[in-house]
Amino acid sequence: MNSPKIIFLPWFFKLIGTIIVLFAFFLFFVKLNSGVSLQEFINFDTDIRNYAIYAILILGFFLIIFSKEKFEDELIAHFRARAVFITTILHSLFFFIFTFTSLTLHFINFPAIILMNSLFFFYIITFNIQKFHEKFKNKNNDNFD
Amino acid sequence: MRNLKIRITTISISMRNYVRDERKRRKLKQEELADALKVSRQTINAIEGNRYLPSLALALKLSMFFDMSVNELFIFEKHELP
Repeated sequence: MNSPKIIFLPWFFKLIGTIIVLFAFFLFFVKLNSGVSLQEFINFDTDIRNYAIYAILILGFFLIIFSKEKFEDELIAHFRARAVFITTILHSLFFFIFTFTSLTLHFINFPAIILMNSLFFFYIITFNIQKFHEKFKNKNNDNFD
Repeated sequence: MRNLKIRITTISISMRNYVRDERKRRKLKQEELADALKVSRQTINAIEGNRYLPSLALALKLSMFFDMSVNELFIFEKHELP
C-alpha cells in the first residue's frame, strides 16, 4: 500500500516566498522608521496597514513551507514530520508565555495573526536546522573511497 | 499467598548496518548509490552514520541492490540492562 502523497508547489515557489518575506521585513522596518513604536505596530487596531504587512509575511511563509525541496526523498519527509512535532511543542510554549505576559503585564493586546506567523516561523526554523545539520554532517563525512 | 517477584529490566535497542562496508566493497561512491536508489546523498550518509533508519521500502531497495537479505544488511541489537 502506498502512503498518500502531499501535493507541494514547485521548488521555485520557495524563492518567491523568500522574496515576499524579505519584502514584508522591509515594509516592517520602513514602518518602524516612520515613527511608529513596536507596541503600536503589534497592536494594529490603530492602522490596518500593519495588518497588511502581517498578511504579506504569512503569504511568504506559506509559499516557503508548501513548496518542494530541490530533491525530495524520505529523509526530507522525515525532517518535515519532526519539524511539525517540534513546532507543536515550541508553539504551545510560546502561546502560553505570550498569553501570560499579555495578561499580567498588560504589555500588548496581541492579534491572532502573530500566532499564525510564529507557527510558520518556528516550522521553517526547525526544518532548516535539521536540513543544514545533516548537510554539515555530510560535508564532514565525505567517505567516497 | 505466593510472593510475586517482579523483575524490571531495561532493554536498549540499537540498529547497525553494513551499508558503508558493502558500498566500499563494491567501490561505489555515495552519490552513485544514491542515484541508483533515487534518494539524496544526504540520505545515504545519514543511513551509513546510523542517524536515520530507512523506511521498509528503502531497506528492501538497498538489500536488492546489494543482493543481500535485509537481515544481513541491517542488524538489530537488543541489550538487556541490569
